[in-house]
Amino acid sequence: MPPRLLAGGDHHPPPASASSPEHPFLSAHLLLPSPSPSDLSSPHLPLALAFSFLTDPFPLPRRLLVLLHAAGGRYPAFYPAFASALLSLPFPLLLPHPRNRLLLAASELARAAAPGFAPLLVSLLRRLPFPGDARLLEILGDYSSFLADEEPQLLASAVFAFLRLLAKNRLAPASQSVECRDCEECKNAKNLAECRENLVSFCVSVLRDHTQVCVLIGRDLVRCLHELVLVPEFRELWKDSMLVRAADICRIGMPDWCTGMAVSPEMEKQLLFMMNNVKWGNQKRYQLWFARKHLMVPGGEERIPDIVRFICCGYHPTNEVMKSGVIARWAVIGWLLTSCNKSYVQANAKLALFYDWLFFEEGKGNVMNIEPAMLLIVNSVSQYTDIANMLLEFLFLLVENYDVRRKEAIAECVRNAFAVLVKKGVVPSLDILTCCEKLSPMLRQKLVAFLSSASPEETEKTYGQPINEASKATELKNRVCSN
Amino acid sequence: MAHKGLDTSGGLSSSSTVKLKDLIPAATNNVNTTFIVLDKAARAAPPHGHADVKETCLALVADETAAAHFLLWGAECDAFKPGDIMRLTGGIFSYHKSNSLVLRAGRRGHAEKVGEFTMLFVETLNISEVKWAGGCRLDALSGVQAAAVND
Repeated sequence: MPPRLLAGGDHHPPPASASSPEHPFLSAHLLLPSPSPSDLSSPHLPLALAFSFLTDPFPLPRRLLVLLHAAGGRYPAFYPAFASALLSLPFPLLLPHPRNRLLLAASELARAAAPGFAPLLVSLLRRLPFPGDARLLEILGDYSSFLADEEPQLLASAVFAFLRLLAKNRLAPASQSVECRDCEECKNAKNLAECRENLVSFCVSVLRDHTQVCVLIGRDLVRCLHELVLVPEFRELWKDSMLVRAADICRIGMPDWCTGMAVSPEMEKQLLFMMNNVKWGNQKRYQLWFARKHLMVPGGEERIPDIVRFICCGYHPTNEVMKSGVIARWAVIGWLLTSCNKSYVQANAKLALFYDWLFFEEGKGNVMNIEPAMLLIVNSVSQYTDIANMLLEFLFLLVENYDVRRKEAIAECVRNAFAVLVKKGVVPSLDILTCCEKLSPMLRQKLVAFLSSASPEETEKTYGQPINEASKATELKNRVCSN
Repeated sequence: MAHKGLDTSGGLSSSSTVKLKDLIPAATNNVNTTFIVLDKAARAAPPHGHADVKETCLALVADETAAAHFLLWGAECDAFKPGDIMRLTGGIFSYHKSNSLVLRAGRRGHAEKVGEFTMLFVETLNISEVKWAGGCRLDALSGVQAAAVND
């Protein structure tokens, strides 16, 4: 009987069933049970070789490596096909031996700088932490100079993923590869938790030696480093080289290729399903399932700030989706905020929500990044006034304290953010807050004073002007923020 | 176990798939359907002195047309959790013990997990709670007919 790639008992589709993700691999394996150089032109080779590569017992036969590079050298499409075959497997279900072999394959593709290796490594970085993940650090450490020149986005993504792992203390405890304890390869597989020092020194050295590459991450790099300021190595780095650049880095928004780095592909799929398909009022069960799977696990709650960043910057629904009655981004974020039990996680989640407000420049910043915070405040006013008050209070705290040396600049950016939200019709006018009796009177006064710190005529012109366009905010005003 | 040839039909038997709202109670093993597990009740342990009887667990399941009660049996109780998308092949929708109308795999059917989370569902109609008479759903009949059947 052929070896298995995926875990799964009687109640998962067997590999022979067309609905199993193993099926195409098994089909190719049955056609080419022992791939050899005579099969180089076979269309089944990428899957058949992947199957043998992942499942052949220790030690990995050298002929498979030779065949991999022979096929890659002969046919330009081979490497990408091999890499995408590996990507098509549901990673969380991989058995320990195939999982370790997949990392070995990734390392082999990176060594050859084979086309397709970067997406494979990015996908693995998004799955951190997992057993045997220390090999990823080895691969990136070995080729960091090459990557800085050839694949800067991959190197920056790796630094970001590792920094998030360190900041959130999400390093997985050592776990034994129980199902493969006889094999040297699997026994020697290390977890990042065991080599925290190497992880820190990799990040620090890339941040020092390839600062320009890391700056590609944009302002979220600063957000990450702030959370690590208690780690001596990062504190030193911050003082030496980052502090002077921070203001410039913060002017760079999160690039598209970075938005998903700190959430796993499974989280992304489920969040997108909720925000694209699940109608208002039907979200409760989905939220519960999501929380059980991703948040109520060790280190899960600590991921909420990254999920909030993903929703603000990584998913901008079309007008059709917004009008289709599905659950809105602000409501998902409202639910996530109420799911934070630890106060530091909640503070970081609120910071994540308002982060783009603090550096918002009209014409440069994307209004969709700042829209969820505004709609969450506005839609919470009637029934969840405490949330609206808490958010406004937090925003003022940020303006006052986030960076005291640049307080005025930040205040200006936040005023810009308010102005653009009105101008683009996200809210008809700020009267919705300044004249709202339910809000704390102190906060309302503060808001009025804050908005009018700009020249008075300007304020009148920008914030008081009613917009005819029907606003999403008012339509949704009576809907509940689910929790 | 000898390796069988690849099954390209996706594991479904020849009969076609059915939506939950179209289920009709019958003592036949021919229900092929896909649904998502919404919730699970507490396990029912085997009756005292019957350790050989497998434990069971009642689950609320649903698809985009209706909800139903599904009786998980033995190892199925651990294999499926809320949020799992299940495919049932060769299952039965019938009265189980006393008076409860449940969907289950039965001895000849098979349930497998084919995904999770990404399926829409409705809970408003529960096909296991509908009253049936003479093969007709009472809620589907007009008031007069229903009253007549009730008499």
